[in-house]
Amino acid sequence: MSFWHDLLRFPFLQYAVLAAVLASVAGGVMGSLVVVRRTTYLAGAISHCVLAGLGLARFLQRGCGVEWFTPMLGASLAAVAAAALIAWLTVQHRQRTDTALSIVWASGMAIGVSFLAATPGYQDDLMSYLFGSILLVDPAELALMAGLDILVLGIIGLFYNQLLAVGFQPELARLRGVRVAAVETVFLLLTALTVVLLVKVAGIVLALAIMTLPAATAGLLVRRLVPMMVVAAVICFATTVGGLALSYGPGWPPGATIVELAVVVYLAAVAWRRWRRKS
Amino acid sequence: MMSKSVIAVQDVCFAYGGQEVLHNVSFEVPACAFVAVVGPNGGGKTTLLKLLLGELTPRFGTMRVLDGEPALVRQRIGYVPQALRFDPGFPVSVRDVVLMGRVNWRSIGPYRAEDRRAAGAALARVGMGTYERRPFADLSGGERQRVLIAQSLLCAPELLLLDEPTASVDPVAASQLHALFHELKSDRTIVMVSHNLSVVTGHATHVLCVNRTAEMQELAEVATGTVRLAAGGDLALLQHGPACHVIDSSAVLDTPHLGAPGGRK
Repeated sequence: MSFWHDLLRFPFLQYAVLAAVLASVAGGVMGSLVVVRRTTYLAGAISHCVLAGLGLARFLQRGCGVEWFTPMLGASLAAVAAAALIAWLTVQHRQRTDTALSIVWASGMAIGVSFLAATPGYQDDLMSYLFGSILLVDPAELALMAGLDILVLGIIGLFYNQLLAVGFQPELARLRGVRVAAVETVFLLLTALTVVLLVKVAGIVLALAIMTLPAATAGLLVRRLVPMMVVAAVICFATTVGGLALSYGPGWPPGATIVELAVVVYLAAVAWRRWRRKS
Repeated sequence: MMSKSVIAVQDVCFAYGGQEVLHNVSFEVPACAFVAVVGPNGGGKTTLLKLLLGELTPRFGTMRVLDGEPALVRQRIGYVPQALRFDPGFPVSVRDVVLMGRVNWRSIGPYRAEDRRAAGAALARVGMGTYERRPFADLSGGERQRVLIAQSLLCAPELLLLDEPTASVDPVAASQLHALFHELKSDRTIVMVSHNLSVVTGHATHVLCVNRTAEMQELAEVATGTVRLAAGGDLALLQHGPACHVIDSSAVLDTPHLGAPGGRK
């Protein structure tokens, strides 16, 4: 069973590759910003909080018959709510960031588990929420992912200079007239939207890895932010499709294989950089 | 004839919570002056700079900077901090850092070609023209300060506020920076907090002694006598003569808080 042969035959594999492209664009760009700002646990908190939205969606669909409330919609709402809560706690009320992230992380998981427990029937698709289901992406979800990509890239294109200045030195940016609190909130919302894109690929548990590993690898190869974003997007796409191809034959879980491949690529980049410095 | 004031501070008081840091501070800075702000640690020098930047608001009194409220004219003020705390792993080039001088809430989208040209010119002016593409983290302390000065020049500031800009650099780099400040004072007003009294003797036109209160003196007045701290007491700072030299720098630099105004005689 060859992945590359079947890719030409089966639409579900073509959708999966298209999902990898869409996830990689936002993942590479936002992942780079998250990594250089040392806020990877922010992405972790938001991605785990997404379980609340997924649980709510399943509860409304199966328990209340609200079919239009899809898991992707629930995930998007939960991610944006998590970002807004983190912004409210850290930017408005100056609470410690690690405390705010822990609260969002744990409460999102707890709410998600409660909704899933209250949902009637067997939770057969719980594993796909936790570890991704890139092979189950449908055209409607691809359209939503494309929309989120355009939104993320458009906002970053407009506010890149502000995001860079605030990330580098917020005090100096504020003195130059940048509204730091507003830029921080935009950054949180962009992270939330990107997490939603990545959850479909790697699930809420592994989305953090997909967002940070390619960017961290790119950071070892280049020393400016825009090239880092481009290289991270390419690595993200390569590891996603590579992980899909590797997992396809033996029937391994694609999300886990993608993350494992990304870890191998990252470690190889670390070793390469060390070798290059020595030689 | 006295030129128009760039800074006019009248009876300003400021306190952090219940602790008063500045009390009834009044002074004026004329255009194109080079003001050296001296005084003991904890005397209120940095607080005064933050008030001039509009970062803090006085409890009492009035402050006019460039004929406006400090916070409203911030775009016309250049500011260089003592030493920039930043993440050395943050991937920015020297040009990226300089261009941050053009960032504000209204400037959305990419920089214009004119911004890039201005960044190149500002870097050339501070002697860093060939460093545009270098990673900022790779520079020495003195080079970073030069880049921050270039950044502050990008908004064509009429007033430059420098908070001990040579405190964290070696003596050679400090000397080069002082020469740069000397050149920059020809077309703008400079207010510089400094513990280095060679700045006072070599470049400043005025000295502002800050220790809860503040008193401005022109350099000629300082050079021929003493600097009198408004909080009380006369402190010998400089001895007049062909080679003005410090006779009691510790008196100004290390004097502990002098208590309530007028309390020390």
